[in-house]
Amino acid sequence: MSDVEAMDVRGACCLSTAGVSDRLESLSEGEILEVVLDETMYDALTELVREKNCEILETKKEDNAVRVRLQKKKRMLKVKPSAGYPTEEGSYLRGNDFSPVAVAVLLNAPRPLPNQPDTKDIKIPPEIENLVRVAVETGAALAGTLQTENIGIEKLISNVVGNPNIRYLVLCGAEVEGHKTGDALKALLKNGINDRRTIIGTKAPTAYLFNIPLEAIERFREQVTLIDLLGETNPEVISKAVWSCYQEKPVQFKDYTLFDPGAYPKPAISCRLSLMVEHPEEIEEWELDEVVKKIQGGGIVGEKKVVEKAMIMDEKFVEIGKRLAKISEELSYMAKIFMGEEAAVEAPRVEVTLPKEEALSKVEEMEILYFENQLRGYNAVFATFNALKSDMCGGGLNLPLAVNKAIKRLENLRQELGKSPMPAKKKGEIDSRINNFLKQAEELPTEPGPCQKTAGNCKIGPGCFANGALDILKLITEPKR
Amino acid sequence: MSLTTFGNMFRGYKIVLGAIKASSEDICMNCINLEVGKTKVRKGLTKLGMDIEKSTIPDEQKKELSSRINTLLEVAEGVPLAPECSCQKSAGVCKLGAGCYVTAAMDLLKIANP
Repeated sequence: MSDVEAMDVRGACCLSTAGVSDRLESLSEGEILEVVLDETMYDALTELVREKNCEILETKKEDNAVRVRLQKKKRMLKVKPSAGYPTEEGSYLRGNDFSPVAVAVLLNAPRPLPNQPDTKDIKIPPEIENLVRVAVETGAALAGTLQTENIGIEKLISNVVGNPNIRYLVLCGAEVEGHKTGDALKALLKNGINDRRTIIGTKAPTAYLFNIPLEAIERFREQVTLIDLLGETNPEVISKAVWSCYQEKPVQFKDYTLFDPGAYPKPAISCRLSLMVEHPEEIEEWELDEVVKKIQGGGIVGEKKVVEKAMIMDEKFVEIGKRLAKISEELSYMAKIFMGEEAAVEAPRVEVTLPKEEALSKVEEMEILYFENQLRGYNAVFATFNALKSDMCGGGLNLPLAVNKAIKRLENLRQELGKSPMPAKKKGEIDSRINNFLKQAEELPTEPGPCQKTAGNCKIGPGCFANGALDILKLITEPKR
Repeated sequence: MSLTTFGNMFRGYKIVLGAIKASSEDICMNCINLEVGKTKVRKGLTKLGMDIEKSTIPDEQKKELSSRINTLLEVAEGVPLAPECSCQKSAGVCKLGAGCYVTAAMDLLKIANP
C-alpha cells in the first residue's frame, strides 16, 4: 500500500475539514487514494465516497483505525451499435441496444419452409416464444431462437459483433436433437475453430462456419462470456440471468459473478453471411480442405482480403437496404388492403374436433410409439440383411447369427404386444407388420457357416456389417419401457 | 488404394443404400438427414470413382468398377425424398430419442473405410 497517495485523517473532527471531500472531488480516473481514519468516521466516508462517485477498493482494520483504498468510479463505456445492426434476419426480438446481454434459446421445432405453403402456419412453440419475450422484457439487447450448429451460429455471431455492448450470451433451452447446437456453441466459445473452419471439440455433426469472416468469429469469442443454462427452460431463471448481467455491482448468479463491464473496447464489426456454402450439412469431411480453399480465394492472401473486405460492408448501404425493405413491406400491405385480400386473411377458421371415442390415452400413445419405433428400426435392419445376403456374408457366420437374434427379438416383441394395453385394431396392425418381418427372415440365411474373416475372404478389418446392422436397433431410446 | 479396399467400399455402399432406401418408406422420407445421407452417398460414390481412376489397378477392372459405381449411383438417385425436407425430430414427428436411423446406416460405411 506504499506507492499510493495516502491521507492520514485520524483525529479529524470531520472529513471535509480534513480535506478528504475536496480530494475525492479532484481525484482523476484511474488514480488511487488511501485514507486512514478513525473507525467512527468510516460510515461518513462511505457516504462521501458514494456522493463523489467513487468506489472503495479495499478496507483494512488497524487497532482503532481503518485504512481504506478508493478510486473514482470508472465511467461505463457504451457505444452505438453498427448502422445495419442487427445485420442478419432471424426469429429474434430486439431490446435495449445498450444492454450487455443477448439470449439464445435453443429451438427443437420446425420452421416454415419457404417453398411449402402447408408449413406457413407452423409457429414456434409458445413456451420457447415466451422465453424469448421474457428475456427481452427483462432487458436483453437481443433474444431469439437458435437451431442449427452452422448457419444458425453464424447469424448469431454476425448480430452480436455488430453491437459491442453485448458482453454476455445466455444459452438456454433444451438441446437441439441431431444438431447438438448448444454443445457446438459452448465448444466454439471454449475452443474456437480449426483451420478447416470446424468448431473444435463438439459432438455436433456439421459444425462448420464457412460463411462468416474469421475476424468476426474471433471477436465474438473475445467479446462475450457464456452463461451456460443449456437445458434450462424456466423463464424465472432466464430472467434472473439477464437481470444479473446488467447490474453495476457484481452479483452472484449460480456459479457466475455478473455485472455490466461496459462495451467491448473495439469498434463494432458489421458483417453479413457470404452464403458461399448454403448447405454446410452436406459437406463431407474429405471435401473440407477444398471448400476452405475456395472460401479463401485459392489460398492467396490478397484475394482473401478482398473477400473479407467485401463482407465487412458499407454500413450505409445496409441501413438504406433495410429501410427500403420496410417501405416495400408497408406498400405491399397497403396494396392488399386496396385489393381486399387482407379481409380474406382475417376469415374465421373452422375447427374440426375428432369424435371422443377415437382419442387415445397418453399410455396408449406411448405404447404405440414404442412398437412403431421398434418396427422402424427393423425396416432398416432387414434392408441391410437383404443386401448382405447376396454378399459373402450370406455364407458366413455373423449374418445368420444376426438374423437369428432379430427373429428372437421379433418374437419377444410379439409377446410384449400381447400384453400391451393398446386398442385391439392397432394391435392387429402391428402384429401383421411383425409377421411380415418374420416372413422376410425365412428368406434369409439362419444356418451359421464359417466366419468369412477367418476363412480369409472378408478383408474389411475388425468391423462387421451384420453386427453393425443389428446395432441400429440400439438407437431406440424413447420411449423407454 | 487396393482392389480389396474398393471391394469393401462397394459392399458398404450397397448395404447403406439398402438401409436408406428402406428408411425412405418411413417418415424419414421427409427428413433432412435422408437428404444429407443421399447426397453423401452420391458424393462418396463419385469420390470412389475418382480414387479408382487414380489407382494402379488394371484398366479392365477400372472399367468394371466404374460400371458398378454407375449402377449404385442410379439406385441412390432413385431413393425417394419429399420436395422440402426438415429434421423430423425438430418437427416433433420422430420420437426415437437421440439416435437417427439414417445417420446410423451411414455409419455402417465407417466399417468399410480403409
